[in-house]
Amino acid sequence: VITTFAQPEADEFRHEVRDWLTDVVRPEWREAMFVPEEHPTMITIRREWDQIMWKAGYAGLSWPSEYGGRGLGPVEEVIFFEECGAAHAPQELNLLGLRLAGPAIINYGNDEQKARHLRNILSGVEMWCEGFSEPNAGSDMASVSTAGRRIAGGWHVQGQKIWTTFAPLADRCYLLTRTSDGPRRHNLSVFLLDMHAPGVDVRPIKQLTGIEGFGEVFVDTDIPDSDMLGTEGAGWQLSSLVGAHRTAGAALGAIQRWADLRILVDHLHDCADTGRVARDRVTHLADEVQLLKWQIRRSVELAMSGSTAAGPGAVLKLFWSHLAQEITQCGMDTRCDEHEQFWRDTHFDFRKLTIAGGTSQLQRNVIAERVLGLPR
Amino acid sequence: MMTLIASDELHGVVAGFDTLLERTTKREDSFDAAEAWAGVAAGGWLDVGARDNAYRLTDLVEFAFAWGRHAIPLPYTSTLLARRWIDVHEAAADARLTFCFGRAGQPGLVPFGGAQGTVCLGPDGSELAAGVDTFAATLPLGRMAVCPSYQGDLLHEAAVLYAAEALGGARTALDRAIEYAGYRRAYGQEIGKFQAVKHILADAFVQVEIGRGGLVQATQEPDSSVRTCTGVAQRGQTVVEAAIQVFGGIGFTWELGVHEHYRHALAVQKLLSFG
Repeated sequence: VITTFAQPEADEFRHEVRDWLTDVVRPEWREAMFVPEEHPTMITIRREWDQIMWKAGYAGLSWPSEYGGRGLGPVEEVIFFEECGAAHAPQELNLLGLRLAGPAIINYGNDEQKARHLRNILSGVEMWCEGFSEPNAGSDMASVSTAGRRIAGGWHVQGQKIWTTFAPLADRCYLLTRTSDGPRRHNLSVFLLDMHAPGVDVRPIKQLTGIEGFGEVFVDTDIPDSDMLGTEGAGWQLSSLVGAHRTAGAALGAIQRWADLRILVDHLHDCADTGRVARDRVTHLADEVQLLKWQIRRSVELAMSGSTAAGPGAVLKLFWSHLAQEITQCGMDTRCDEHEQFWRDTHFDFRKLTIAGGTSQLQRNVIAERVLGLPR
Repeated sequence: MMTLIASDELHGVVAGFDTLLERTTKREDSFDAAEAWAGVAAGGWLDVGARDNAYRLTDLVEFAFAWGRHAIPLPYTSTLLARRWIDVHEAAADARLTFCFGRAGQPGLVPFGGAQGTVCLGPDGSELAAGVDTFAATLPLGRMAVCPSYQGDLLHEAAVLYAAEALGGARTALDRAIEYAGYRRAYGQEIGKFQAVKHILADAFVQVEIGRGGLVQATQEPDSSVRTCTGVAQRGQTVVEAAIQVFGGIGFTWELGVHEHYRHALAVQKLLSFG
């Protein structure tokens, strides 16, 4: 385990989750562990996992109970993800519904939106994607050019999103849109776009792994006022809120990754029998994975002591994403016949780790400007 | 949560210590070791290591980190540890103390061994060997042919606290480089606006933070703490090297003083190699 909590309730919860996981996690899932996350086989497993979590009441652990969540705190959330990692449970499929759209609607949605979406997100009926990146606005998110024009009862929105994870599977999209010619960052709004509406066209993109995981979303459609989240012009705050969720979520994400990296290092020890890589190198990587555990522990403690600083999340992401790539590179260097395909697949898939969710360069800018206070 | 990081309250206490050290070192032209030591002793800062007070190793890390930030050529950390683990009845209340770092019966290194006014404690009164490595003024290393056996967790705690010193020094070097990048101009703008410079400093910050994670790990995993702490000191070295790079030409000078932190991080690695 990574964390230990003083409250006896925390231990009780840990045992409850652990027992439940023993019952529900299937051994064959462990075999599929390193099938890329967006591979059809994995998608099927993850969809099933969402259902299992929902039925057992573990979906939306930290959501208020009035919206169908468990109303538990960050302590239980950390414990839950830790135990899931240790048990090799799959990752949730409706990640963006559970961690992005859901919390945003709880905080900023109106009653009608809450009634319409929250329960469906929890139950996995409504699958979400996030519409931020565009061909000409990647890291520079405020530069989106997908634009909304006022019409009677709503907006006509036209534009293109790209690298949209789960777009081919999604029912709704958290769509960042330019809705005025006002000053930068005050000219954006968020729509809860219906992906099945006429004029919404999804084209899957084949990734360098050969898998169709994400896609392009072409939008030329009318969106009713009832699908605007919060107020007009609040889009940047609503997406920065996402940033804040990401920072808190960074520790949770790292907790999930940590379990994977431990398995990878175990594989590495086996493959190193070929004698093609120095044992020192494998030992060093194993040490770094162990250090990651303590850094996660530290980040969790900082987050729980009320720190909302951007630093710990960016530091964690930079550390684990580059470490993960070093591990798979070492795996390939072992030239292990038996696992050649495994290391290739994983190494290819892991190229995304330093790009998605904020490139390493963006993370460094965040640290340099927001933490170290360097001039912009 | 069973907390492994220092409390806000402790950070407040350490801030007081830090202020004293800041004042002590401000007067660079007239640094007086005896006066500085008297100030530290008078403030009660030598007592923080006593085993009968409430401080945990996790807390002492913060004191060692603060000490390391100021590059003071005095044996604070070794005194703290000696008072914590060795019978010091004979020694004066404000004595500068040290011990031999190494495995019992093997050769060891003595922080500030042979330094004026510093007493090396050992159960069997082992003698210092000739020759002191003065490469780092903030951590001169004497030698002992046969290291005595000390009680308790002295070696484990010494590894952690010296690594914390190295990282504290690295953080100061980083802070100075950040400040410099904020006003030094080239090509019509502050160099800190160039991403090439920003990213060096951001990566250095990551190293400091991961190093702090390493200190947490070392407090919790005593069996591998020497190895973990060596890694922390290496990260400290990397950070100082980044700072020197950002300073450019001035970074290569003696006058700038960043070399003190550089030497310290390297001396700590040498010390730990005897653990």
